[in-house]
Amino acid sequence: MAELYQALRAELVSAVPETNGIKTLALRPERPFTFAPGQFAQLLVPGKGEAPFSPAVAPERPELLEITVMKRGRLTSLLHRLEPGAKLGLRGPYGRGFPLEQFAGKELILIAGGVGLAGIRSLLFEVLSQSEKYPRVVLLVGAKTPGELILREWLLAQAGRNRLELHMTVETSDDSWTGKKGLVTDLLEGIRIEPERSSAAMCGPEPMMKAAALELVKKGVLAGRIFLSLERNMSCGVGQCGHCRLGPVHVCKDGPVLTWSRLEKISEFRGPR
Amino acid sequence: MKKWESSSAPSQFFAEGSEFLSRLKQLAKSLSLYGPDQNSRLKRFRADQVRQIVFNPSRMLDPLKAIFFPARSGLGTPFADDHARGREIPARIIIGAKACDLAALELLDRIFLEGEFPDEEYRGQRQKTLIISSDCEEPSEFCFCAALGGSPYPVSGFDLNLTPAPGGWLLEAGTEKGRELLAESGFRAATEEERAHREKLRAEKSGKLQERLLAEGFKFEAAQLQKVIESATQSPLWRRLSEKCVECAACSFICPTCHCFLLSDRGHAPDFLRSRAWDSCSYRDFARLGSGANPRPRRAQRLRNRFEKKFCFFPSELGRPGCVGCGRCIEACAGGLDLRRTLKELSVG
Ligand SMILES: Cc1cc2nc3c(=O)[nH]c(=O)nc-3n(C[C@H](O)[C@H](O)[C@H](O)COP(=O)(O)OP(=O)(O)OC[C@H]3O[C@@H](n4cnc5c(N)ncnc54)[C@H](O)[C@@H]3O)c2cc1C
Ligand code: SF4
Ligand code: FES
Repeated sequence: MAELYQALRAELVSAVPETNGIKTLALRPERPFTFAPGQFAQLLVPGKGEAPFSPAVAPERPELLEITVMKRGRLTSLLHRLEPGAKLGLRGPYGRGFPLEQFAGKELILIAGGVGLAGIRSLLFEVLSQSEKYPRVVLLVGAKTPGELILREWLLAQAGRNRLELHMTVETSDDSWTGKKGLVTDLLEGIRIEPERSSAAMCGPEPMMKAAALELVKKGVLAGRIFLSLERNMSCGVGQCGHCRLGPVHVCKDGPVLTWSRLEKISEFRGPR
Repeated sequence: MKKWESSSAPSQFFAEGSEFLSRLKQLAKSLSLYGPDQNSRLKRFRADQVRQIVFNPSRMLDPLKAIFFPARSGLGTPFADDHARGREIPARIIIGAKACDLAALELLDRIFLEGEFPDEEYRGQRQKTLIISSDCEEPSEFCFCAALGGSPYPVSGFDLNLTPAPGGWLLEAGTEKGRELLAESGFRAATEEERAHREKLRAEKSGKLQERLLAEGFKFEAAQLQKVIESATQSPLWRRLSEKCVECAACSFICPTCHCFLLSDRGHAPDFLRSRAWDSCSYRDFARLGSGANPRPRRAQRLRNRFEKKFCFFPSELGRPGCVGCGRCIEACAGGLDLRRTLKELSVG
């Protein structure tokens, strides 16, 4: 194992804009970088800093690692300015991802809000490539505007091949959008859910995830089968620096994927009752 | 060691004050020696300076963590394939550790060494350091270890422990390293009388401290504190107290169990450098996300979070509170916050 906090070199192969403010970076690591869906990596801009991201490997390009980055602050702005050929670093993978063994045989309800789709993309690749293991895959995607719906073409193609029950919604739009309008939680109303056969996984803004989890519980899905991929401020990634602590949990080490049954017991997460 | 040997081999030794100092001087010729100076700071002493070491009556001001987990340290290159790091770790002795220091170090060991990604640098520092602790002769006005179930004399976590004895020290080894050191030193075995004297002294000192703390109403139950702090998320107490906090983070930096840090990067190709520095959950941006969302935007929330970490996280994850009762944060707080009084208020409800 590499020394603690030390990264593997990786070269930026391409940087493709997805939407306004979101780019997908394709990296070629010096050595294979393997991870499970839902785990994360610390992406290093040498001399500048690191930030955690959820990598994915697209089935069409198995030798590259893809990271979809939303421009937010200091480091993500730097990442958005990089040109192919840039030298980066990767460390990890860290944390616990989605429980694939638990998901096998279940009807999966995947929920993504905005750039949160990046957080479940590798899970999506996995379950779509193993369709015999996952009898039904429903994906609910929400975004503020149609322009912020990332990976739209790819998703539509998957849905077209009948492997994916895809439902999309946007909060606000112009006339060019003919689909649904509203919150991603509204989409839950329109789908058939067999609670005892279902598991759910989600990634997106925390208020969205909380609302969706509560709705799923209301529909009878067990709290222990609802998985949220959380975002927290992170530095070390290995449970030592304290930045990501949420009650008794270090999100970097015990998460980032955590069950609703665990989270709803944490007062800081739950908020005042 | 076979059973019958342990009963005959002495576990406690006696050294006269000057005898012990000359042994220390000898050791300091090949090892770096750290101990308290007259200002209660942890300082390095050369072999010819051992007489300047102050045999501290209670804990020094600096937390021991500063030795194993420095306030700021260079980590070398951020890349795994550059081998610029591999620094030689010097062998050291620390003298002047107290029971509370050792309890705190045990917790830090678990944070940095347990789990999938142990910190080997920290492990090396720990292994290369011999710790000589001592009983507290005079707890400071801030000390409250005994109110949290501790005692003012070390029972574990030391290589060698010193208890004052008439004319010198009673020495006890806590580890193999300590036993070897004692075996090489040529001190004589402690007499029955000296051993009895130690037990009497300990009972006296700890009784006196307990009495003093009790008189001020300082007696805390870890399980009760955990429950109260867990449920008191909305208590007005946090806001009232946080009005005094100036966010200087002195409490974190001086706390022997606070371990939060931040990694940062600088430099230009090909000489990139990474470093690690203490950080504090009292700072507003400690937990802020790139989206701007902040789990603890208010000072009151950050203050409660600090208590939650010490009295809920530590007990539930590591089996004991993350507060050892050393009182350093009370001594350091610019706003005059007194942890003991807060705990008392919380306990009373
Ligand atoms: C597990 C996980 C997976 C994620 N996956 C993705 C993903 O796939 N795609 C995506 O777009 N986002 C993802 N994120 C979010 C992403 O990590 C943040 O958007 C990113 O960290 C923002 O960094 P920034 O520097 O641009 O933002 P800033 O707002 O500049 O910084 C964010 C925080 O980092 C700290 N910080 C800022 N500057 C420094 C500095 N100089 N030194 C040290 N700390 C500093 C600050 O405390 C600040 O609160 C993920 C987050 C997590 C936790
Ligand atoms: S808190 Fe207790 S162990 Fe620590 S210095 Fe004070 S009396 Fe000694
Ligand atoms: S990121 Fe350091 S403890 Fe989680």
